Amino acid sequence: MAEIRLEKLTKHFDEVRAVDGLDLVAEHGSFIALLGPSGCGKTTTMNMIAGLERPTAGEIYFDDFPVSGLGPEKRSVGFVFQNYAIFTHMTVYENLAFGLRMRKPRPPKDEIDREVRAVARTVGLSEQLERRVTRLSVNDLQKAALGRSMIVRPAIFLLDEPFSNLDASFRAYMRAELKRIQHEIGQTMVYVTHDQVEAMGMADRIAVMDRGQLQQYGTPDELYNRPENRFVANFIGSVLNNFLPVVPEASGAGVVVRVTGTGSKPIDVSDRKVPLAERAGAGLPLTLMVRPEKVRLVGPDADEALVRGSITAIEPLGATDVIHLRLDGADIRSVARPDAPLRVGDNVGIAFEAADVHLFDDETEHAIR
Amino acid sequence: MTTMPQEERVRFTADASTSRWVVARPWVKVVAVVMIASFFAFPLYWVVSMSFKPRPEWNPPGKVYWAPQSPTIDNYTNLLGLKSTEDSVFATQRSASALTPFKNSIILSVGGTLLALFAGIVTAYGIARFRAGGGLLPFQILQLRMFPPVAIIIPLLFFYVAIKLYDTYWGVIILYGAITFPFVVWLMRSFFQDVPREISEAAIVDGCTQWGAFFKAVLPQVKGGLAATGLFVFILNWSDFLIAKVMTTDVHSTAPVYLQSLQGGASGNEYGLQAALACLLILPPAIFGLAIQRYLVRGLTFGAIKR
Repeated sequence: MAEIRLEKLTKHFDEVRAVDGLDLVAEHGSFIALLGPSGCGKTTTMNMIAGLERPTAGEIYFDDFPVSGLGPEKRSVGFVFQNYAIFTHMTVYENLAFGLRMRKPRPPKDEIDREVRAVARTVGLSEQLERRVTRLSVNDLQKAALGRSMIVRPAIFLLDEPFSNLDASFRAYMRAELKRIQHEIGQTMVYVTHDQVEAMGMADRIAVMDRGQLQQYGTPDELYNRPENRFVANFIGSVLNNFLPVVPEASGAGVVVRVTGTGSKPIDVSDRKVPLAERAGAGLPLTLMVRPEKVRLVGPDADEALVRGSITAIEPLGATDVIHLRLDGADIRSVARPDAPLRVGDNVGIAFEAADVHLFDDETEHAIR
Repeated sequence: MTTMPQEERVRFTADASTSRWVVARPWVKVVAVVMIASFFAFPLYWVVSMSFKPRPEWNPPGKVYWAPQSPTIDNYTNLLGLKSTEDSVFATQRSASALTPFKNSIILSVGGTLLALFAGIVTAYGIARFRAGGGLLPFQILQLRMFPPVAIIIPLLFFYVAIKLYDTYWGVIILYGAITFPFVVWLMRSFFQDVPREISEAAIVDGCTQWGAFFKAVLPQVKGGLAATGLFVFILNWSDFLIAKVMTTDVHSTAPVYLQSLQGGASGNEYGLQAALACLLILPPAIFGLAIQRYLVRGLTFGAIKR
């Protein structure tokens, strides 16, 4: 168990700033996800924590102990790679035992055997121990990779997109398994992924990264309900999020926004610090974001309808349907129950609560709260 | 081929008609295979049969013996110095049997191969994994092979005499190693490139040093390629004539040089002895090849290592 602290961690590859001044703390025994699109610097960050890459600047602390000078073999980290990195010339047993056999002094045989069997039980490979690795399924390969990293009881567990090659149902199963294993062994885990569903489902806290910089670090709930900027707002959420251009205007003592060019009713955002004084006169626009699951469809003439639109497509996902809507000048999406009486071409009224609306400054892309 | 379609409606391309013609007549294939196989196997047959012929059957004027009329193993026993008969070449010309050159061949070829393999895999791994020496190094190493060894052998001879490596095992082993080193680097580099970087990283994270990861995790992944490369290099060294001829005297000379000494002189061409020695020279590479056969198939499909 260890706390990981990154301070101004930076890595440049020639001119490219892969990681740029990253500050992050992963507490003892917590499950952290590094989330971001490919090329955002998450794997580089992971490699630096493991010691496989040397930082250009900044420092990494394990429990207040700076580790930049330590080689990867001395850091007591477990690393699970995206492509398993299983040793194909060995059996499953030998793969699991590898880390222990590398210890100096080497532990006694019966102790290694006990550990290997215990880990095999934990990851569910007891039946396959004597098999050659080349005969394993992709799913079992990943289990073996997980077990091999686990057996040395690393202080820190690093997983680099470990499930991205697995089929969807097994991935869901492994997500739950990993969460159980993490709970069982209680180690600090850092999990790299570009899949926000994985991150949201497993991690205690998520660090969203883009272009080498930390965008937001928080619990899944914080990221979903209080995104700090437009990038995070867009990246989190299972259905493509709705972004609409709006214009703020004064309304009595408060402030309202209207969706540009749609003749929408005003949405009261008096509780936000909308910079009205500078903006309203010039009519400078902002961006409004509302999650599809917060968008309700009502009758076209209902009082609560803020704008009108028509249904362009219905995407059934089983438990819910995703409704694609066209407004004047914008496309948005809504989530509806499959039994809702909706058809492509229907004219509908679109409603959402002011509290579910997120506003972003178009220039800085920061949230306006 | 039960019903033939109507003649006018069928248009064969040349290839299709040829293959149909062959398919329809299986014996064509058999005949072709036998002909091609005999073409390549006949020299081998001739050498083997010659090695069992007594001296009168070697090269009698105006007559060809297609098979030994009175088979004998005298050629082998003479060659190995097990028996000294009157028609033995050793009674007349030479004092040593083929045993010493054969032993020298094994020492020098194995030594040179091991040296090339060791230096070569370390270099290849450095290039493949760490881009050691930049982009040019692999080509600079290949340049060692861009001239024939004969181009430098004479200056090298003077040099070897000066540094007292002339006519020593080490002298030849170093040369064999140096000449086959580029092959090892180029072959092994492509094998190492196919091993995912994460294999060594995983081993290191699990507590290996960089060297430990190389020997315990990476090298076993390419053992097929290593076996194929080793065999290839061994055959090159085993069949060397020039370097051994120039750089050694009888004491450290090799079997190919000895083979050449079996002709001319007072006794004429010792065909039977040459054939017997040739048969013996086939054995080590063949045995080596059989021993590593199970790695070879995978190793020879260059770069097709399963991840």
